[in-house]
Amino acid sequence: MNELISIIIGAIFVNNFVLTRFLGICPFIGVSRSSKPAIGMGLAVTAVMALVSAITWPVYHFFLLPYGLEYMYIVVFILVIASFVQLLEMFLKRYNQALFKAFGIYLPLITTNCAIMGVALLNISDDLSFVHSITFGTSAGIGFLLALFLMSGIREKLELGNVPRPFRGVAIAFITASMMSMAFLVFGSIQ
Amino acid sequence: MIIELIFMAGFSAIIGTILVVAGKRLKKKDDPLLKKVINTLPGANCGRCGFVGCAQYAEAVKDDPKLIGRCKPGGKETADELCALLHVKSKPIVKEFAVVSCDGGKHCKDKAVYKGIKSCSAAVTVAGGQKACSYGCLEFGDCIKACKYGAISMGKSGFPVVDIKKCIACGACVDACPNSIIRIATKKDKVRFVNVNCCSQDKGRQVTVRCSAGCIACRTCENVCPKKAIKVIDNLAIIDYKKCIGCGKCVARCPRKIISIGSI
Repeated sequence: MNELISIIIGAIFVNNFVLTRFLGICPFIGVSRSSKPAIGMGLAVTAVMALVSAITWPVYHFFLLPYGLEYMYIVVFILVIASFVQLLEMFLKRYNQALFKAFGIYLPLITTNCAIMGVALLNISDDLSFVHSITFGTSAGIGFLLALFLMSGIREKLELGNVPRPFRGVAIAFITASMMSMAFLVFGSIQ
Repeated sequence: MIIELIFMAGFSAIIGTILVVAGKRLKKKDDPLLKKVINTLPGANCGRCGFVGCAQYAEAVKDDPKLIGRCKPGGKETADELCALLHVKSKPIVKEFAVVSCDGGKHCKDKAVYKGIKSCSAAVTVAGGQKACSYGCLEFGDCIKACKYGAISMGKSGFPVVDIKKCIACGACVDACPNSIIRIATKKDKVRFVNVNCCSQDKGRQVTVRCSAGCIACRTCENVCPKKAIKVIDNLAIIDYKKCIGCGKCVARCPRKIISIGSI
């Protein structure tokens, strides 16, 4: 139980995927202009991260490890993740139109996202058990959602602020992101 | 090496099969009504209805018949067909089209010779263009280039003319004209469309010197109008289309012959 809590706190705050590990910067800058799409994207990423952890773990431990193919895990994971997201999209389109419309445009974006790949790879390199890797995937997604939501709130305010001309747009977003990242360093002292 | 190859091939084959099977199984059954609605629409994907394309509009209009009539290129015919498909009563459609409010052209004198780029937006940056009237048409046809539907052509007298049958009121020419002499007008059913073909807010004296087809703010039209629908504001006659009944009295009495009336 203690381990689970430390994984959750660790993935959300201490080693936040965006602000400490610098994974998934592309959607972090691209989809954080207003909070509504930011939440949609964050939820989609959370769902996919949890499911991908649940799928890649058995693939690695039951298919790759017994046959001595573990060095091929990057290629296999890319294949698995890409096809899984496709499958998920089809399922949603057929059975849950509301969710499909909410996730719609973000799901294809997620297919090639490095944060998702990062979760799958970290699960393996940290040698987590099945339950632990699902927990890690879910909380990593929540950490991503948190970072994205905070960023979108700040950027909404920045739209109204008087930003000097050379810094307008993406420039000020990067500066903000770096400051947020420094703020998240504080969590590093929690051990 | 061989094991890896076999493994990757097998793995990809399994995943591919799953995707194909799932794709076929999960494919949504085509809605025959939706297909009919899509076929009714023109398929121009112009976006004037406020949706991304015709397919999105079709999906929305299928569920909400109130949206009928948003399709401008389709006009009345499409709206009637949609009404028949969705079993609702048809309603009158307001015709929309672009109107050029300047009869300048050859009637308007040049104040200078312009030899720069042949474009209205370029010419207007040089001391307001080569024409004596700073409000009117610059005659380089930016609107003609902007029109994707070939609905605007240069008339004989040197100002652009809109072919109302081809015009879908997309507004591209309105944006292209640097002097804003083109606007999108609406025409009510059974009322003839009257338009004042001048945009000049210069005083009468200046207009007579510069252009023989300009409004001199004589107020004759104001006086003859039975509905008080036409008024001179800022030295220019302006029609209030809510009041205008299309009687054509102002057209007959205008000393400059710049009010036009259409039979559309």
